[in-house]
Amino acid sequence: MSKPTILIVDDSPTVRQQVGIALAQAGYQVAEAEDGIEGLNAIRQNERIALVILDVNMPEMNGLEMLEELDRSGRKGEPPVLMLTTEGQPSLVKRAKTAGARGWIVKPFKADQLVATVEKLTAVATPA
Amino acid sequence: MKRACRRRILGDLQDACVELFRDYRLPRVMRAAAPDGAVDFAGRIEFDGDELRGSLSVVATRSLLDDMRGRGHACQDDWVAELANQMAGRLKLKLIRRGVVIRLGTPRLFRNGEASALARRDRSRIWLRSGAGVIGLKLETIVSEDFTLEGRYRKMDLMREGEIQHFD
Repeated sequence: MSKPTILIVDDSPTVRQQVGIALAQAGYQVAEAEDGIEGLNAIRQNERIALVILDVNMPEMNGLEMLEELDRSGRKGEPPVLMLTTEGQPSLVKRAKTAGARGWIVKPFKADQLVATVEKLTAVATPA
Repeated sequence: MKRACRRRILGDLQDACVELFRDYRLPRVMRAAAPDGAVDFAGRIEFDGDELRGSLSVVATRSLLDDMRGRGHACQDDWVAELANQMAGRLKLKLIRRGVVIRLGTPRLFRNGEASALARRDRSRIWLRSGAGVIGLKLETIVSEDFTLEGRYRKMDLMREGEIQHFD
């Protein structure tokens, strides 16, 4: 059975590429968005997205705003969201947790740890 | 800004750069002279806060990207802007430990002529070399009259770079 689709939301093409390579090598399908608005549209248009990997500081709509918009629209934790960001400020981590994020990684990431976290979160989200 | 505060911030910035390059398994960072030729890329990120605001700009020659790619790191032309972003994130965590909180903006990428113009305008950069790559760092700051920066890091339970926190 093929692995699910992961949406990467980050304004940096390099980060999207680095995360995408790590996930593709682990067998995941990958979708990309450049900011929170594109991210929300991608989730609404693609029911197969099993997990979102989400940056915080982005133009147009940042990651925390996107997460809170998902919460307001009744989709808290659907799909699950893993934050991947340069930020580590406790108040931001708390805000993401309140809005339904399932985890937080401070960049830079290690590919094997990222994939292990994705495996864990998608296994919980889509039980066999 | 008091000289001691400025020294601490610049020290924190240089440490952030060294740590970041170490995390990417790049060769040890050393002080370098400004490159003779033009720079190819620049990334700039602004920050603000109640006591401190300003910007961090990072300029680099294409050799930095080539060096990164040669070491197996996938990176596109925006890499220098992302480096500025990750350095600013590290600097932010260090400043929190010194009692100062800033908010980060989004990084902006400059190429070729624009990047060289930025490098020329800010000649007083810290220039660093790692492997074949050369980068220049420039921190511009505006502080409030009562701005202070603690000399020692507070003991705080902050996330570290590369750390993963699960919420359930």
